[in-house]
Amino acid sequence: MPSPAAIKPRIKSMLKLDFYRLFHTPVLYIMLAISAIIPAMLLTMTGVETQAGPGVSTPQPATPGVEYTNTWQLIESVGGTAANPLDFGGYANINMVFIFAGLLMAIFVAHDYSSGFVKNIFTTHSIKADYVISKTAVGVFSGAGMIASYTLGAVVAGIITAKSFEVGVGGLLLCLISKILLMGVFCALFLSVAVFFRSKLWVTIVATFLVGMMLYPAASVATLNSSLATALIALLAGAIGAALLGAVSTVILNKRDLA
Amino acid sequence: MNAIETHELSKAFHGMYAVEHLNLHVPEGSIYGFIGENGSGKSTTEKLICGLLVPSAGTIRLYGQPHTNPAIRSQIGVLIENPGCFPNSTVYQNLMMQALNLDLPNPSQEVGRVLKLVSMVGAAGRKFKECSLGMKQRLGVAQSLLGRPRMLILDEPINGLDADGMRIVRETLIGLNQEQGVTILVSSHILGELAKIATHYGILRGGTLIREMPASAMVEECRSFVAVNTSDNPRAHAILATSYTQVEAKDGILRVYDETDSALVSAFLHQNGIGVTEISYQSIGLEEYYLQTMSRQTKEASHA
Repeated sequence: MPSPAAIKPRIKSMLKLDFYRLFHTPVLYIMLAISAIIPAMLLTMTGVETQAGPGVSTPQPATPGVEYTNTWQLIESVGGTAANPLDFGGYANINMVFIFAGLLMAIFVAHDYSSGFVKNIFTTHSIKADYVISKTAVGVFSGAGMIASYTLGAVVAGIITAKSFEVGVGGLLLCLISKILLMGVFCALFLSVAVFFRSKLWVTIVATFLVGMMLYPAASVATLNSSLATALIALLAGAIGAALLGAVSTVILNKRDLA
Repeated sequence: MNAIETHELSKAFHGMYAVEHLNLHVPEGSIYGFIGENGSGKSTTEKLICGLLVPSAGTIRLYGQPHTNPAIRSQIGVLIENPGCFPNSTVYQNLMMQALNLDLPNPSQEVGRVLKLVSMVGAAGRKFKECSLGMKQRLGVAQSLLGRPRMLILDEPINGLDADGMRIVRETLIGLNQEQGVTILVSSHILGELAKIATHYGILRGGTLIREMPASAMVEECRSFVAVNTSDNPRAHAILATSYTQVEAKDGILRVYDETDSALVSAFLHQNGIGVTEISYQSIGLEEYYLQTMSRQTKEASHA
């Protein structure tokens, strides 16, 4: 059993490698840009504000055929009803970035295998668990960046289209924090899929979409009226989910040949 | 101490053994030339040693430690088949990523050092996908040299290199071995090039190690002979066979293995009325030795 003193530098080096790669490849920037453009498109393409008026204190769900009246409807609605499957906005709201994080991870892992770089990683001191921890961390970090980018895009578009910004600030912040915390379980799941399919990028992408859509309602737990309890639940779910699914990914990596 | 030692190492893919009961001994500080035909199990063995494949049976020890020990593995530089590089990243970025992965204290300085070693400083900003085959191969060698490893495992490192590229790699490897005592396990199909650097050899066939010896022993085994060409080789062959036990006709000439003095062979043929047109004393190289060993193995296998 390696000592914590030995584990720390290994994970640190793996993280340094992954973050260097993340910032030196265009995938992250493309994903961030898409995350910012989508809310802007949704707000600008749903027409002129017709329903917002003075005294609106809590944003209501965007429903089919009705344009957004409040910028924060893009982030989430009260009670998570923005995930109504018949509502396009429900699919294109901020929870969409969970799928984007999955795509980024699929590309990252598939390229590790297709380029052969995985040989460089595992012929040195790194062990499979280091890889899993580091890749999950990269996914959570990127996902958090995409959530921030989506929020920023929504704010800018909201200002341009003169949408309402009325919201409970505490609930909004806790909603965003909870979504970032939930990234842990999402990214760990996407990583399990990616290490299972390895260099088969398109199969990984399809599988990521499928498992992402299955887990999608979980992201709607964090709503605009989130409380500290919501954030705590998200933290526990993210951490426990990431640990369990991380163990699954490690087993997959340990059981199979790498080259 | 052996740098690499395998004991009854086996690896099967879908029930077919690629490597079987392999007992390999690579002495510390040696350049171990790993020879074998395509599919003989060289790359599989190297991947097993590097930890890229999981053995079906047997053990691998590196410097007396299990090969899975992260502390030992961090001292190994590897180039297996193709260099593991991201096509859209530059030469520098690819090296930098590996330097970070190895947790080197001054990664950019180390990347500069290995780029200089393989004469690729000028190509640092070039994307990997835009590099020539030779440049890619040299980059792979550079990657394996990051962090001044104690041991190098190189699979066909000179594939695709021109004469100058081969010289650069050869001189780099000899320098590392002689100046820093780096142990090198290297496989190559270019046996002439391997013969210039190897201090030990292992010959693999069908996943089994058929010979393992120091280069000095191989030199002794590489038989010398008197090569003779005559006006009537078939008759000369028959006459020589009456006096010598190891006579062979090959490539249009006769070889007399149990004689070192060409003048004696010439005089013997003249006495028997055969004119000698060409005679010299020769010895066989690594390539021919390897082919003969393979041929002997085939015969032995068919007899068995």
